[in-house]
Amino acid sequence: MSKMEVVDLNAWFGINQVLHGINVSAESGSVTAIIGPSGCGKSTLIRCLNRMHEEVRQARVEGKVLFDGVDIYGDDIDPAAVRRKIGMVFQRPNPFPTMSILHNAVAGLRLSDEKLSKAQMRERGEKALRAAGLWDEVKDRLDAPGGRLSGGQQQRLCIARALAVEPEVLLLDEPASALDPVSTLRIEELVGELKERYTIVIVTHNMQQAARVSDWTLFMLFGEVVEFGPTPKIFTSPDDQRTDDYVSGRFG
Amino acid sequence: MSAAGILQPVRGSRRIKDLAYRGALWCCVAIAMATLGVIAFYVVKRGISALSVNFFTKEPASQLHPEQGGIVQSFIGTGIIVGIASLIAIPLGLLTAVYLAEYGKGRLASAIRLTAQVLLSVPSIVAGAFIWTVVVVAFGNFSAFAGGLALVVLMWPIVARATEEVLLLVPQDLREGSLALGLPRWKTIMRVVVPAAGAGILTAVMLAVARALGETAPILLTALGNDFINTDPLKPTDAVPLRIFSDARTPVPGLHQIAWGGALVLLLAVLLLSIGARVLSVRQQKRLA
Repeated sequence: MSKMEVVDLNAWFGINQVLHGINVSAESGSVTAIIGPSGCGKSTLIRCLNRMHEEVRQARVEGKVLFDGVDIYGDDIDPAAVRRKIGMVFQRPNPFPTMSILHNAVAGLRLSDEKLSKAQMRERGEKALRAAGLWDEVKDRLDAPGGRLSGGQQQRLCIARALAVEPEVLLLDEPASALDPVSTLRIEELVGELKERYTIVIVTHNMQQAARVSDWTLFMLFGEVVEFGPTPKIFTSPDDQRTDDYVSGRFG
Repeated sequence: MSAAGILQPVRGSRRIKDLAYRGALWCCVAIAMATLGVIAFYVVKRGISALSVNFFTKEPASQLHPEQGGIVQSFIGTGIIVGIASLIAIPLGLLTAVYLAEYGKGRLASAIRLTAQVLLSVPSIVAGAFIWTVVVVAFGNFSAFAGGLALVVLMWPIVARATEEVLLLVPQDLREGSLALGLPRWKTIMRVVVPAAGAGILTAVMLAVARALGETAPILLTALGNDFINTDPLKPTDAVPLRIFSDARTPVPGLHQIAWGGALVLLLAVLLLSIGARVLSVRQQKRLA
């Protein structure tokens, strides 16, 4: 069984339908990349995977998203519980400006369990920061504001923050598009390290990045799935002519 | 070759226009500043000599020797009335703002927003008259409590609207970052959004308090005034603006002196609050940048 499976998913902003009958799945321990030109619905799709889409006014979803076989859009499902299992990192690094580096890293834990002790915070924070490859750079200034870090470090802090809640799936929405090439490389290496323990879905408009980091690739166009398959196949011998045109740079 | 065309020196007529507009803008600034400066100068000049230990510690003396007395009952009264008003208006205003900024959509939110907007522009004596009718007349006496309620009518919309604006300035990214960690919405608001807006909210609150400190008309009709110290919130109570108003209307020069002293203290208090608000908001902008 796939870790996550999307079944006949449709999504709207107001009366504007942006996703049409999406069917796709993501396997445990693998990286799935979603690619496509701007406005094709890839960000909307990834935001549907942990119910963040509905946080936008007038946004609406129909269809199923199965997580370990359970529909996250089912009745009585708490979106907050879904998001603890399926974490997300956004395009622009968004550390909490009023919190220190350590408090940022453990924000999800600290704010859901106010009784968390200092020692526990420190331990869980270190674990998350190590997993995000940031520990060595910040261990001497854990009390400094999160906003003081560079863009790339802030983004890894956001990844640490997402990991600290111990999710099973990690959704990355263009996590490196606001970063410089060196920081981008760091994030890509990190994705490679993390995929052993997490199911990762990454949206990217950078096709080389998709080719480098992912095992599976989903190509979308106008809110529909054009082709979904193993990354090498999508990039070398896709079935659909439009996929071939896109990955070879003829449009988009 | 083409660069030469772009890099021509600025022509004379543009320089003159630039100078004229700059001059006009400076004049506007100078007029505004001068007005403020003259008021402040005059209040300080007339009021400074009234300030004495007696002024801050004694109740009014006889009209023959007003300088032997003070207006301590006005300071205490203002503290009580503005305190009561703040205790009610600030929490109410903050809750309204959170509702409007974070939850409010549709008719109810529009209605609340419109109500606050209308109240903002209601003349303050109307607030006083309203509370006079529903509280003073109904309960049969003037009181600090009624005065506080009249100020609530003025403070609530200031706190609510100003705080709403500040909350809307908090980037959506932060809300999403928090929600994506599986934190419920109320926690996101209380622990991420409100702290991020912290200094801005404090600014809104301080401005509202500053406004309430100087209001005369609404408490004239509700707190009435008192020549003696009163700490019972259900009895008529004095306040600094009321004292200024009543002393200034007498023909006694010594009482005019007291009124100027009261005006000076009020001016200083409001100035301190405004500067405090300003400093905090500058700090806030630096931190979020």
